[in-house]
This record gives sequence, C-alpha cells and structure tokens, in this order.
Amino acid sequence: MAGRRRSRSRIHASEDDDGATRPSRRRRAEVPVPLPDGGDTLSESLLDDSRRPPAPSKWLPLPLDMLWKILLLLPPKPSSRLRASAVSTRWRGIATDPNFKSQFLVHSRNCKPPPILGLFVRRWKNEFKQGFLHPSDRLPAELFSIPSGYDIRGCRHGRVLAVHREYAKLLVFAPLSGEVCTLSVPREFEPPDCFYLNGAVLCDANDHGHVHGMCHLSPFKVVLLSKLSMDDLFITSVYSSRTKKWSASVSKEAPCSVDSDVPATLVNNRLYWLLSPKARGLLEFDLDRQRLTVIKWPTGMIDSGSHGIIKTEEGAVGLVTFSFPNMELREMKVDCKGFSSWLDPKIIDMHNVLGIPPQIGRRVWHCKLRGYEEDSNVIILCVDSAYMVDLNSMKSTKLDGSGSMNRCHPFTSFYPPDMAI
Amino acid sequence: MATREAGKKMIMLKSPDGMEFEVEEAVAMESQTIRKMIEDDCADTAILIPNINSKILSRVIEYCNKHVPTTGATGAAASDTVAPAALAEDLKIWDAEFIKVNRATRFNLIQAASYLNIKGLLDLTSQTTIDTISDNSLEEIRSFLSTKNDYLPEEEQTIRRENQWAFQ
Repeated sequence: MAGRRRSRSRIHASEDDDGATRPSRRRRAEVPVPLPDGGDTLSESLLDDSRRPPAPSKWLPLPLDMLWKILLLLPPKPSSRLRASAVSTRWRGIATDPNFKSQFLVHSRNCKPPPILGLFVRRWKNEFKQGFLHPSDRLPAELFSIPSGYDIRGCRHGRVLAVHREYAKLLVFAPLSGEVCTLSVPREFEPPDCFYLNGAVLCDANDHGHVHGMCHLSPFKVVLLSKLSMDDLFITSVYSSRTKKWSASVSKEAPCSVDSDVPATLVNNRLYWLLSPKARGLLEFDLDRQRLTVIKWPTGMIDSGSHGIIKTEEGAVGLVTFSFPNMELREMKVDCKGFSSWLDPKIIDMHNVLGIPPQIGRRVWHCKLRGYEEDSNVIILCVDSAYMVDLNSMKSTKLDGSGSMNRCHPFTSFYPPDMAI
Repeated sequence: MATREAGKKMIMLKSPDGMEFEVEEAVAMESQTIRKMIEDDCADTAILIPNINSKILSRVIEYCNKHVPTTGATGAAASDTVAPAALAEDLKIWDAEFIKVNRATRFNLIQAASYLNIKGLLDLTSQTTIDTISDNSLEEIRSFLSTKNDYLPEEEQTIRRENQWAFQ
C-alpha cells in the first residue's frame, strides 16, 4: 500500500527520495512548448551530456502517465505484472491499480496476439510442454490432457482439433473452458474411400469487433481435408457448430498429397497446407468461396531444407525454407486477377538468431521446422536443439531438453481474466 | 490533412542550448504538441523546445523527416511507386537502427517523444522499453529507466523469495 500512496502524487523528479531538483527556469522567452502535466523531469545532467549515463545519485523517473502507458504494452501474461511490481513501489502502485488492470486487459486484447500457452507435442503420448514459460505463466497441465487414441491436427483460436487414430472421428477441444465435442465425419471421408484425415479448426464468431484470443465460447468451424484413395482427388467439407452440420464436399483433382500431420496455416480466411515435397506446392482452401486450389512453389526454389507456410507480417502467405544456417522467406503476391507469384526470397543467417556460433569444419545439421503459430508469427524449429523463433522480431528461445522434437502444435489464448494480471 | 498544402512552409525549432533547426512545417507537425501550437497560431517565428537539447532534438527531427511522407500517405496514396510493404519494411529496418543508441540517449528520446507527443516515436521507444523490461534483470531495468529501488530490505527479500525466476 505504501506504493499506492507514493504513486498518487504526480511524479516529478523531486518525488524520489534523494531530493533531485527540478529545473525551475523552464519558461523562457520566445514561444515555449507548453509543458505536459508532470513532464518536466529531464535533468540538466541528462540534457547536457546525453553520452554520459545518468549519474547514479540522480533518480529521475518517467512521468507517471508515461510509465502507465508503457506498462500497458507489457506482454499479456501473469509474469509481466509480477516482474513490473518488483521494480519499485511506484511500479507496483501502477501494476496493482484496478484501473490499470482493466485497461491492461482491454489493451492487450485489442493490440496484441494472444500469448502461446504451451506446445502440444506427440511422443508416445500427447504432451503439453510449458517448460519454456515462467512458472507464474503456466496453467495446470490437466487442462490440456487429450483423451488417448487421438492425434492432434492443429490448434487455433483457443481450440484443438484431434483425429482418432483408428476410427473416423474428430475431437474439438477447448482446454480453457473444458468444452469437448466429438464429431463423426461425413460418409465420403470414412475408410476405405479415404485413408487419412487432415483438418483445421477455427473460430466462427461473426460479431462485429470480435478479437480472437478468448474464443472458447464462440461458435467454431472445422475444415476437414482428405484424399480419395481411388482417384487423385482432394476433398474438403466444413462443419459449423452453429448448424451442427457438414457442408457439401468440395473436391479438386491433383496428382499429389498432403501429409496427414501437416497443420494448416490460416491467412485471410484461406487455409494453406504444404503438399508433400515432390509436388512442390501448396493446397489452398478458400473458406469464402469454398474452393480448393493448388499453388506452385516459386520456380528455381531448391527442394533441400525443411519447408513451412507462414503468414507474413504484412498478412500475406509466406513460404519459409530452413536449411541451417540459412532461413529463406518468400512472400506470395496475388494480383487483381487472382494470379499468384512469389517475391524474391529474404535470406536470414540464423547463427546469430539462434546463438549457434559458426562451426570449424563441416558439420551436417539435421534441421526441421516443427511447428508454427500464425497470430504471433512464431516458428518452432530443430537444429541441435529445438528453438522457438519470433519471425517478427527474430528473437529466439531455446527449448531445453528437446534435441529431437517431433511435430508440435502451439496453443495460444489470452489468460482467463482472473489470471491475466 | 490540413498540412498537405503547407508542405513547403518552414518552421524554426530552437533547443535550450541555443541551436536552431529549420524544418518543414509538415515534419514539425509530426509532433502533436507542435501541431497544436501551429494550428492555434502560437508559432510566429521560432518555437523554443525547452528540456530537449540539440543532440536529442536533431535525432527527433531526423526521425520525423524519415517518417513524414509515410504518415501522410498511409492508406490514401495509391500512386506510390514503391510497394507499401517494401516501404514499411525499409522503415522498420531504419527504426531498428535509429533506436540503437546508448541508454541515456534512448531515455531522453522516450521523454522527448512523450513531451512532443510523436506517436510513432513514442511507440518505438515504448516498445524498446518493454523489450528492456522483458529481457533484463531488475537492476538493469531500474538503471535504464532511472527508477530507484525503494523497497525496504525486508520487502525486497519477500519479493525475491516469491519471484525467484524474476531475479535470475
């Protein structure tokens, strides 16, 4: 409470205990810029020689309103508040202020993608890895337990889609609300006509201003993808939780396939799956037009390396190729007639990003892309260990004890309000 | 916006250490504080910017110069010869370089951005601050943001005990 009391006074340089003084001769001749409320805290020492770090005896904090605004930008997870609170009583005063908490909740949801709460990884059973998060950001593991017999096909908008290994049935699961929904598939997707089931789940909220991230109670859609065993025909159908029905199936002839465990990437209401390597292409399903299309890789792109589909920062479809130490990012452009083409690749040296020093002599790395989260643009890849790389900031986090990670599915959601801050 | 026709008009900005900077009005108006003054007709010849020294002010002007055409063209200008995405990428790289300055300069830039109310610069410096909070120890955060640790020793002990990870 001491922090609250102290933070109440407008924060000036003199607010702090060492008694640093404020410049009093600030209004001068000519036309001075009006001083913002509480904003006159720049010390002469800082002004006169900005190359010199502030003298340790001078404590000249940011104006309260500015610190408040900055702290609103903290990542939307419980550890943010704890960390900020530990800095000083003044910071704690803000971080525990009820007005700040409610603003933070609103701000986070409007301005930031929901955080990654963990990764579903399949070993001999489905596991939910949260070890890379601060302890205060971890949720109880039992929330994320998937019934046995199911393989996960993807996570999106707070829900998980899993396919039963033996029976043609699906599970849609919302870990934070506990909602579980079992679906049987349309007849044409059942064996022996189809020999695998791929698919994607997504939120179907259509209320104006809906922000994905707390979609557990919103309606959802499931897009099912498979291939008819007898023909070179992809088929899809869309389930709506509003109508509880599957749509008429849509098909597309193509002499290629999609591996069953390849998750889809959602970009502008279209889902994209990577075709199996020799086909050198992507499969697009347009949810608005209910249409399947095969898109070719850029000509001249080499096959080697591990490939994945991403949503670029500009909101376009991107193709990433990882072959350590290089990562190539290509963006797809669609012209007004609907023809797609690929921009020149951006090549990134991953030595620095991953913190792996260049090796003396030749070393062959077994590199694999293992997962991707489209809202925060985070990719999970394996080299000597598994890493999570934020493709926007190019910052990486090493995932400990995971040298040979299998395919994983990042799960994102905002924290429940009582935990968020 | 109202500034479009006044693109060529020049404004004089003065720092408290006596330096003068002649900038295009449109550039100066990236600052909402200055914009308001101009719009209110408070700026006849020169505007004194108290509290921001010439070194910081010149960096702020450099930022505004770089950002003014983009801000003006956002959304509306279809006649751009450069693809907006490429332009945005270019600006992002430029911003990242721009903010690679020492701690004291960065701290002054944050204050200047707030003081002059320049949204882009405020966002950039705020995000840098957030990165500092996320990536550094508490001591480094305090040092960077000139924040004094005013916890009593026993309070600090409790906090350290409760949040072991935050002090690693």
